[in-house]
Amino acid sequence: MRLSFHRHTVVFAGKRGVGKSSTLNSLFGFSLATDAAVECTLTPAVRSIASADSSRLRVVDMPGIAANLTSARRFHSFYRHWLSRADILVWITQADVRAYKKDQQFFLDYLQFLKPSSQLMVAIGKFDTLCPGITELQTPEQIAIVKSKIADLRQQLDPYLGRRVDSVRYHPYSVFMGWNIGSLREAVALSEQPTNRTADLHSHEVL
Amino acid sequence: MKFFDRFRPPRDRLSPGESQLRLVVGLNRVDEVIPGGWNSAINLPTDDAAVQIDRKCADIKRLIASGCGISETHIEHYSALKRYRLENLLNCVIRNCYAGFKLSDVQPKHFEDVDGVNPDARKFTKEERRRRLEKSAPRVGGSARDEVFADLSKVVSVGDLRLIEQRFNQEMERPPTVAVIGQAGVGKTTTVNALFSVEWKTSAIGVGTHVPQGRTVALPSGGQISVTDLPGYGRSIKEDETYERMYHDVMTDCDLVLLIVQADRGDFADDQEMILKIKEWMS
Repeated sequence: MRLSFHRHTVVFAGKRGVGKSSTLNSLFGFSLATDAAVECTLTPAVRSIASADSSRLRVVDMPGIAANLTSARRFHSFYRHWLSRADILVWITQADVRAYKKDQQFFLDYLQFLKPSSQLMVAIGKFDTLCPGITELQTPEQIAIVKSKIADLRQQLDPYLGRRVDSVRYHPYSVFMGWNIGSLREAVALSEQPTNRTADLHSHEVL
Repeated sequence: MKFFDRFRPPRDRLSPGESQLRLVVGLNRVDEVIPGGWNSAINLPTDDAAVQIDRKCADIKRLIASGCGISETHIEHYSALKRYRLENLLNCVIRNCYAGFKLSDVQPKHFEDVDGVNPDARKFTKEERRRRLEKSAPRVGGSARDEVFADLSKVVSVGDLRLIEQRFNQEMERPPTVAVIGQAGVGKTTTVNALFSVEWKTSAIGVGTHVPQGRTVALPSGGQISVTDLPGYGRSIKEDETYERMYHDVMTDCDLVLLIVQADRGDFADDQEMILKIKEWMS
């Protein structure tokens, strides 16, 4: 029997520039290089971190897809390698973007490499661009914006998720405002401990 | 009838050897590229940010140009919202548009006329602009057009000149047609408004167009311009397939395609795919 040092592996992926590295920095206190205009992550960055129950968690920051015409070919083997080892795939999108063609293409091409037992989570970042100053979900307007954004994303992505369509979780958050970061951390760390969710919120509670 | 056919569609008039790519790629939102790098009192980037913006845009230009095999002279960076470098974009448009001289009198909106600009800075810029306009060679009677025809009358016969004038006037009466395309929300309408000093309504957040919307508007500088707003690409695999035929038909009838890209984003694959298609269609 092979003993694994890591309890599980979480892979963060998404289009280039959606804020994968800044999300990871905010979630786990990493100091991955981020830049608004320059491609920073050129190879997968693998980190090992201690989770709440003192087991270890492997976190992988993938290079962004769709940077240019050749990046798909360039990163293909990285994605194949890490998706087949992922227990959770966190697919990051940003709230202020409505173009999902490349996200669809990614799911079409790569979801087959994900283990059947693995989880898929779609994280929608930069929500402060739609709800300026959001620190918690309060006003009906904010709830309506979050709901309609998730509905729009579902409409575009669900047809490409195959049998994962019922198990996929959508998680809105904002690194800039620190909104809903805690619950994202819990979700990827698979924490067994009871958690206080009054301040944070999961997508299924929104929907 | 054959005579008039020569004026449209433009692509048929160019022989293969002299074909010119009637495409301009605008890198919009450069004000968002450097966080905290914008001085809103004078509505310009800070000195440090200006250098960084130029450097980063040069990277993006190289990426797009080399990936698509187009010249960097077709790409210009600007900010429609801040009205930054609009003159540069306009020059790029005039240079690459079929019969671009028709747009040579266009004045983009002034960068100092946005909310938040310091009144003193605004006054200074306005005075400076007026001073420079007065300093630049004053035209003594007649327009540049009349001067050209006066010159021509010295070298061509009266009959030929009349023919030239006739064709010139016909061409001038045809408003330049521009197709504007980009992903949803990149600022297509804001760009058109700022660049040509017109007032189109920007569409509400989340409501995209699904059909091309064409409008002909009078330019404040005289003449008209016909702009076709194309539905955005890259939204979904299916929509892109549906739109492709329509993109092709609209673009090949236009004098120029203005493709707008957001400079503060990192994913250019969709844009590059579109540019490659435009390149194929327009040449």
